[in-house]
Amino acid sequence: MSESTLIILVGTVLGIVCRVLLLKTDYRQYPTYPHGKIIHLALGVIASGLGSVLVATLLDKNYTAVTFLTLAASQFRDVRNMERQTLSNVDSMELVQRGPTYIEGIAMAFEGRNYLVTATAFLTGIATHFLHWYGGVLIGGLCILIATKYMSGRTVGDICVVRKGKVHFDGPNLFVDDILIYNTGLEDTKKKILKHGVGLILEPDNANGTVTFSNLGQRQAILHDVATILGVYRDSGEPSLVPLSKRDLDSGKLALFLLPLDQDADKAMAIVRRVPVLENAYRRPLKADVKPDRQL
Amino acid sequence: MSSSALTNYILAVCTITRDSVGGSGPIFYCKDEEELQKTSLYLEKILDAMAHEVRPGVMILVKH
Repeated sequence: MSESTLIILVGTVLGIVCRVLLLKTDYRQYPTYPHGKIIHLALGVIASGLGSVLVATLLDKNYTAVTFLTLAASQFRDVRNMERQTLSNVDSMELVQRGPTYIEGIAMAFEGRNYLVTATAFLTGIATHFLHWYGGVLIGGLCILIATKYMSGRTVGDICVVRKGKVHFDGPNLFVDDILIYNTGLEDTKKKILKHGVGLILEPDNANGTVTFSNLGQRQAILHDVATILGVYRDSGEPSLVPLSKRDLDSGKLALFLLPLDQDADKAMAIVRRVPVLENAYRRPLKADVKPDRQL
Repeated sequence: MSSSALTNYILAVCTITRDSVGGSGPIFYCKDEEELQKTSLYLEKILDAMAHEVRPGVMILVKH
């Protein structure tokens, strides 16, 4: 087997392995199985092919092959657009929507993963050239490990304390602990809410959390994830039954009013803790040196 | 959500106190609290709007 073939083979295989490992269908049921997966696997093959072929061509002194990468970049941007469009279209039919911030986050992750695959294939190819195939496999394995381990971001549980809150009415006004959620006048609705409602309070650890929770997209993502896993007690034509999040402006606490079918508050708390902190929502005001001791 | 355009509309008003409401919108006069609850419930389902109690005896149906 010629060296180029070996480089392309090892690089591509390791790249594909990386894509497969990053392609998990979890509770979000996304990407959908099987067709959504095939789309991403196919793109993963292209991405890893690009990375490994690049090494072979560069070693052949075909330096113009670098322009290949621009092609790859535009290709993966399309992946992001495709994801955004699909998810946005589907989102309008959800009872509890994902929200545009969550969708952007997912789309971004899909684009980013393709670059990771290309990088894995590229580095594996180089390692194969210098350290033979086992060296390539070793470096590729290392890249995959880094990609899977360090590309998962923070979760809501990392930036706040989650505890139970009491759902109660004061006249027509619905409260979770002392935070007003909304006003509903119907006795029938009040009964349903008291029977099915679950209240949670999120207390941010510091100003970073407080500012992050002021993002409506982050809050919608939390409501969506809970509704996905525990179900939601609502339907079209039931405008009074709506899971909502409201912020206590003075303390920065966030009250979540949920209507899960499975009313286990402990499960709901565990789910909320595991919701990803969205890249587009996360803010770090404490990093600003204007006032380092700043508390919100 | 973030739009500054007007997105909430009062579609109807239900009341048991005739003299506490007025204006150009549809007003449903009810004879007691039970009828008020029933009328608002029906209107809520029909209009896909949310019933809010503004003060005792006055409900507004708002499209959010």
